Amino acid sequence: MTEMTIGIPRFRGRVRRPEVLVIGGGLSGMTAALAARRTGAEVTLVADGAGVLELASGCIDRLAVPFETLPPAHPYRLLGMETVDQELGDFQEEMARVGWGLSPGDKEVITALGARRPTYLVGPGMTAPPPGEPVWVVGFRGLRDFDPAVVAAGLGGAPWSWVDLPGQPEEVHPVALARLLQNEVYREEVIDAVLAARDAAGLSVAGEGSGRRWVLFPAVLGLTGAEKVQADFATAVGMRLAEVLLPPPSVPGLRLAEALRRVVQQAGVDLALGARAVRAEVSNGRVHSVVCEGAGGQVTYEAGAYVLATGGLLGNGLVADGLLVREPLFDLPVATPGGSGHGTARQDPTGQDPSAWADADFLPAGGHPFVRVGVTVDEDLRPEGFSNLFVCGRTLAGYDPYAEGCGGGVAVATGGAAGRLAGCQAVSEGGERR
Amino acid sequence: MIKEYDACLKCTICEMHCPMLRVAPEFPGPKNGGPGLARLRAAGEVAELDHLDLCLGCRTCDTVCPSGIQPADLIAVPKRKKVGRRGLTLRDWVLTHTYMVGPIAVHMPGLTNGVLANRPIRWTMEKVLHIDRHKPMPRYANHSFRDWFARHESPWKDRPAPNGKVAYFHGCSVQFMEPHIGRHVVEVLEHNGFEVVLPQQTCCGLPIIANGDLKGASSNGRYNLRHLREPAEAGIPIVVSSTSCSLTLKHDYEHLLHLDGADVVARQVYDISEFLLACHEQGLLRTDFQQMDERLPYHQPCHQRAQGIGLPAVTLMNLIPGVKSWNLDAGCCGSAGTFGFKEEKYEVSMKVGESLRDAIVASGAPRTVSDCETCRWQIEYQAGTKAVHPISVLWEAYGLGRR
Repeated sequence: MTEMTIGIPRFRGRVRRPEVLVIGGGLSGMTAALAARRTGAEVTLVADGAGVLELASGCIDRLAVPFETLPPAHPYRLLGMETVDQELGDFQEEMARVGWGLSPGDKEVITALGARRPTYLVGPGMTAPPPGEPVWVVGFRGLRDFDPAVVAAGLGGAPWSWVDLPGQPEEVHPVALARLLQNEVYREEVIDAVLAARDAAGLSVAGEGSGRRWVLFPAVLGLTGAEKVQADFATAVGMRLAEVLLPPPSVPGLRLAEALRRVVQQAGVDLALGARAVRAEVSNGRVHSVVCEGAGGQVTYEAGAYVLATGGLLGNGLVADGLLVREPLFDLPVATPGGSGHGTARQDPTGQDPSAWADADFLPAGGHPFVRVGVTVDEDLRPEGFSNLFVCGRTLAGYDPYAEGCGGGVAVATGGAAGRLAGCQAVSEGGERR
Repeated sequence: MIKEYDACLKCTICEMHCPMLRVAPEFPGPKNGGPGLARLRAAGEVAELDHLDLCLGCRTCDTVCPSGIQPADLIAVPKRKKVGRRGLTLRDWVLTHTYMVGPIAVHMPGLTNGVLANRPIRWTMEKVLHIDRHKPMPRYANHSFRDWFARHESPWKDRPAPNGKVAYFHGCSVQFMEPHIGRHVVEVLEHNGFEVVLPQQTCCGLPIIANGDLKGASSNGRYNLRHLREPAEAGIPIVVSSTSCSLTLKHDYEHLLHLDGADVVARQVYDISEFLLACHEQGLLRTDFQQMDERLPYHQPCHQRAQGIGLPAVTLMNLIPGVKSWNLDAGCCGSAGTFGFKEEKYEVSMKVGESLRDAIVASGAPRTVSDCETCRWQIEYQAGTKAVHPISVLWEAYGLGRR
């Protein structure tokens, strides 16, 4: 025992004591850490690997179905839409602090198949043109997963063009291209090629409908400096501009993730990436410590309050062995289809019916029941019996981000709410703990 | 080897974060060069990819992988095999064994630094050794850190230090080039009631590992473990002021080189800021700091981030009244130890460092803080601002320079 060793009477080894520990570094964990920090708490966030923001659209959905249709255990029902909208508003404000403007509303973005996808908070240059507006779709040769003809066809037909990049690379990574386009000299070269393609397509500014037309580019126009890159392209081409989402890896997702990391770090959150929470010590419903392990060894965190944001089945925040689903760190109650939601879900020894978990249709309107698997919590996002543990994001039960179009909104709203509650609790109890 | 690479989902998150892939499209990247190639090797294919040696070894991919894979080690496998067969090239041997020159160089720093800054000599070094002539070589000091320590008088020499002993692993750069940082470590620890002891030590071996010579690095490792084992077994914390050395002692000796006793030592090794912050949160750190009124942008070294211990230096500096410190989060500095000194890598290393340079310039601050010596040298060269170790900031704030 380190703390007992002769010569070091007081130093207790690798023991850290932040006021709030957030476990998980995806959208909800980052939002939680930020909200907790804003209450004045000292916050550490530990994350095992990056979240999936970098693979997502860079937009935040809110809700694509009527509120009344949501099941009783839905996180939006626990929080109430007023809180949800408050949290989304706070998120938008926080991102504006680092210059990342998100505009709210019933927005649409265009996908690489030319489909219109509804969403809520949209990053710069991504809002789709209103239906019926004339567009011109531009693709860059060598950038895989984007074919301007496919986008044009998906939009019901529109002029489209290929543009050669300088040096005519056989293949170019979207992130590398986004960074290259922030270089002024390179950008000028690409813009010249785009102008030549525009004129070849007979869409020069002097032409018919000029000024009203939109130009659609794949979403690779810059990283942190995207707004400037987009503006340069739009001005030169003489059209309004919108970016089209690509399949992952996603440049707009990376922009949002980087902006979020910036604001979290500027706020003074201690960001410990590359550490996995391996063990928790709990008694009488109170979490005393969580042990995290990274390449730099095991660190014991003794915080006042904890936020669990480790993700769902895909993020390893929940693990499944057949129909047995567990929350591995605290062994929290997991609600499964057919289960009551209280107590750990067990595979029925008599043989639980797996058909209750999935719909016979591949893409059912109401979604598949297994998607709603998760940890059940009360209105303060606490699992039953816990006093200083708050759960947020994909770990939660009761929602279907795909069928309800609410994934980002749930992550932000529950993350913000969980972080605020954890922060307030830790700060008010702080005096006693130290 | 366990088939951990089979856990790769091809999610591309490592590619999104790889600092090399953003500037060198010819680099195969962590996904293809790591688990991708490992699968082919396992299937018995002669799996080789060009430009794999562009890997910086920054371990960003290890840190961001959601599937627990460590692509950086997988990428290094072919190089380690080759070096294992043929040994280090002359150039790589020279770059990784500067610690052997150190004892002589500190006795004639004027001559050594003059030679290393001489343009015709640098030109010749580039032609003969392929060591790039542009980047300034680190300058040797006029005394070694251990010389200073031997002369220095501890406030705890006549009475027991209230917080006990701490062993200090200073590494090569403090010993020969930046002894003042070692002094700052010692004086800050003593100010906080710790007695500092200096175990025998040699280069941790990280540059040798990075250049592929695991056998050579193992002999450095065994030497160090022989001398660090005793304090470790006595429960004495071993603090390290270079984050690359601390990662090597904590992780590589055990998990890469599989050395005896590495686990015992690793458990006691602390990055100096990690140690001081743990002390603070356990109520052991003095906070009698003087007002400083300075904005201090911080560059997190890749090998510090890879440890999964957060940003202790930032938290510590923000304890100083008037200081506002924050992590720039602008990616790898590009130097990556010896990488940036190589003729064929110099240009790409400078390209990698551009984002950090831009962030530093945009911050407008005259000083940047970073815990790693090669990061600091790269920042001073590329961004043209002063770069200091966080311990030096604490040392100033304690007013220890004015004693």
